[in-house]
Amino acid sequence: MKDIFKQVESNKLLLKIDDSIYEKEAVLNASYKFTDKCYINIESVDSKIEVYFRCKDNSTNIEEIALSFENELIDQQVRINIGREFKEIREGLVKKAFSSISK
Amino acid sequence: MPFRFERFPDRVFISNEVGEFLFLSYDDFDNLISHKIQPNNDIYNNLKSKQIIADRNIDDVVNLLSTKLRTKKHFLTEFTSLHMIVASLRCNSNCSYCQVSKKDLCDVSFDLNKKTAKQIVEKIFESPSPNIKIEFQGGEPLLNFEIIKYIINLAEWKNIFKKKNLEFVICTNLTLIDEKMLKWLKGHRVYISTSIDGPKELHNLNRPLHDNENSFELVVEKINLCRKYLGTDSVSALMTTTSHTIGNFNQIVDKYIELEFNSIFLRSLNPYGFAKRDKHKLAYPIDDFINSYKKALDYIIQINMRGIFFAEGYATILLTRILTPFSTGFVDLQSPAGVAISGVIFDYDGDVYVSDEGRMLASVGDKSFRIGNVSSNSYQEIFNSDYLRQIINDSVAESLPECATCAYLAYCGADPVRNYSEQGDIIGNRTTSEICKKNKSIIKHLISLLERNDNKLNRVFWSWITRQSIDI
Repeated sequence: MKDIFKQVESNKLLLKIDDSIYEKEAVLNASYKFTDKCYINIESVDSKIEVYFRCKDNSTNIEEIALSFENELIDQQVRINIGREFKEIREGLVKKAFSSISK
Repeated sequence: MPFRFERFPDRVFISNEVGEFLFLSYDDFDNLISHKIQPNNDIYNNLKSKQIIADRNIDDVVNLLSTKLRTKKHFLTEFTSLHMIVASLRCNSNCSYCQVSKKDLCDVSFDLNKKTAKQIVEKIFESPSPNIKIEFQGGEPLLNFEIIKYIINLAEWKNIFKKKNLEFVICTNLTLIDEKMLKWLKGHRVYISTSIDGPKELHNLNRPLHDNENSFELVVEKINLCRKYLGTDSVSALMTTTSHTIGNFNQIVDKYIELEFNSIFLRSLNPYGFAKRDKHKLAYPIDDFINSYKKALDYIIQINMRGIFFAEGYATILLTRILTPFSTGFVDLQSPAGVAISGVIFDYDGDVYVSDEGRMLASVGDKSFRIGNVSSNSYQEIFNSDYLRQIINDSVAESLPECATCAYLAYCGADPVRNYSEQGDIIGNRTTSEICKKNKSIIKHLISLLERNDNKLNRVFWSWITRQSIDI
């Protein structure tokens, strides 16, 4: 696997994300899922989104977190894609479901 | 069609807007999201039958899903049906986990008076719901039995004109009930909800009386007395799990069966009142509850497999949501939350709170969930305020962080009061939420049981959903 992250300190890590592949929303959603374990800072630098992780607990394996984050990022982007693809159908479905009681 | 998903180590769980679900292999999932599923094989047909994909007649599929969604959200069309009334904050129990911070037995200033009771009943009958359930809470409501009689008489009188489906529940420790009370209650549509926390030793440890350490035998005697006057199905019981009882679910289940109950609700400790104050003594890691729950569920399933009908209440609610399109009306787990729009509580002083838990917070000085008072506010001011609308707006799980994309959304809901109590804000953070962890774990466990496709097990689950014994 390409070196996708860089150890900053023992419990700090920097992940550079290509914003031509992942949207900001996917990065935020994936980051949210790790806020129980890490303090997370997100910055936009050139064409990359930089995500800094700092573990709340020194015993947490930060490399594992970063690898899990990569997979979570894919799932979040897929969710966004599905949501966008079926947005109209979903909205039409909800509208139809409550058409009898909406004014 | 729209769907949500979650990866398991060896497969992917997929569900749609109305909770139809299935598992796919990683390869099949990749094919699904890249539109490469081959038509007319088993996977394709399964996805189609669950309305997760549609190849033609998309309008028909949308119509079908819309009907199912409307049925699932039926509770929204009714508005408030559950109306809880605090008859008194006084209590003769000394429960270790008292969530309402009960008051001294002699201090009648914490009793609901007739003037306020009348105003409460007036407000209740302004609800547009055709179903009105009035539930008496405490403290111990039987300490103010006169106000219970007054409210029941007044509500029944009003209902001659309103013609609602009216019923009453008294949530009581039962120790004060007597034949005279029961003779009166017999003529009205009253159910009893009591608490049994397990066999004698465990129950007495959690729920001693002020003047009697042994409340268990008295409660059992009174359950039998209630059944004699009000009928065998008139009494239901709840249990609350504390650190003393968490490892003893099987014993508790056995006791419920011995006492001729046909269900139990394995309920974790709610962090309010004394339960929050004494958390260090009474609470336990949520993982311990989840593990104990799963083991107890397995034990209960085995009992059913032996031909004894006995349901677990929480699993029944979730299974109904997973396997049927029907609305279950469980106010603690709805989207939007059931706060005030499904259930509401009127305190002894006429203050109105969005839920029992909202009033529990008020009992320790935090009135964040007070939405008015029956003497100074109109029905519209209480139930149609911008503040209440904002709370409900913030409890639509479909729009909450993490919940919005959660594969279990169709079975779950939001609890803004719990989020506030546990995490300090009503939206909450799912990654650190104990209630999210508990719900997700139990839903996943039930789904993994359903995935076994075991005919006997499925019959047990359907017997719980339909509330009737089925030959196993």
